[in-house]
Amino acid sequence: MSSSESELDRVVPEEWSVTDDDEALAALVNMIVVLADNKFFLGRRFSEWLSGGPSLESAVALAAIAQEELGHARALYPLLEEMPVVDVPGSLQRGAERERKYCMTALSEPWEWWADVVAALILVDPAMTVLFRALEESRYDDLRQRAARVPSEELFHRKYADGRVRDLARTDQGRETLQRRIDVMLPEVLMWFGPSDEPGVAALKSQGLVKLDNNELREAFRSDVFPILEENGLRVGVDDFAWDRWNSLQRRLG
Amino acid sequence: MSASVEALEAALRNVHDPEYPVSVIDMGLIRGLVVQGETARVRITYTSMGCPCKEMIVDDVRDALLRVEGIETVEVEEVFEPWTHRNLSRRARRTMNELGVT
Repeated sequence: MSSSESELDRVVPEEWSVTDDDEALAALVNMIVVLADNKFFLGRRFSEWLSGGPSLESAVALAAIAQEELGHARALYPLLEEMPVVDVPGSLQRGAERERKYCMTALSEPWEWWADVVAALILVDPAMTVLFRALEESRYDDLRQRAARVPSEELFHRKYADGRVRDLARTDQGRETLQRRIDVMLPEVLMWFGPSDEPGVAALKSQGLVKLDNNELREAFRSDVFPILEENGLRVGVDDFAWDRWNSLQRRLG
Repeated sequence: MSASVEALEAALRNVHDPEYPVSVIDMGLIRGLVVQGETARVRITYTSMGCPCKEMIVDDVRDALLRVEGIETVEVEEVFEPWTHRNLSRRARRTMNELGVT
């Protein structure tokens, strides 16, 4: 995704045949760590709500969802180890720490409200699924195999998300509470796909590593998620993107 | 003499999924079995990428294959291939039905 990782010096390129394009390689490393970190922190945030949700059923469902999010992260982190570059970000699994996190700001801190959980279920998780779908035909076999499994596992997450959106939107108070969380989260989620004409993503697309560019990904997300929100009386307008506050390396606001 | 693939498969028919009394073969988890000298190479997928029992299954697979005569080393590779209920064998489906799992 981002092409600004100047520390990504290539090593042993002859043993790694996915791409010989430095810009595509840097963007690929960035995309994998961004997906892995967001999955990891999404799982962590969901797990914090196992005893705070509105029902026993929500706790059970969130436990299953959190486990799968962490599983997706666990499947992605090992790919970083095989990258032919130095100083690749390490895994965050099993208590490992890393100063620089590559997740959305919305996932950085524990959530205060159930509506945050629902907003993340309907915004953050589907955004990542859009990107995984765009990787299902990637020329990078190890990534393609993993990416191809994620959307089918996410079907249940999405059904659950749609149901919780409908639950909250049934009352004015619930709908307004969810709207406030969407207003905070949605701009960053839309920006997460990146600005138009991002060189790293263009390189990934031209190398057959990802199918869609940033605008196509963003549009796919809008088509996927906006109908359920609008059907439930929720506003999805984002007037403009604050690219001056966008961190293209960590793919987050702030 | 090298062990046969059939011997490996027979051994894995005694390795049950940790959640159901169904072998990893009948669950459709085993996607490849190869013998190279004294090494057994196993390609495996799981019902979910977040399966919490992966380590347990790998340990059980390794233990079972190391008991096969002629096998000294076992290499297990997770292949992330899709898994659906259609990968269950008829025997597994019958067991699941008897347990009330649909």
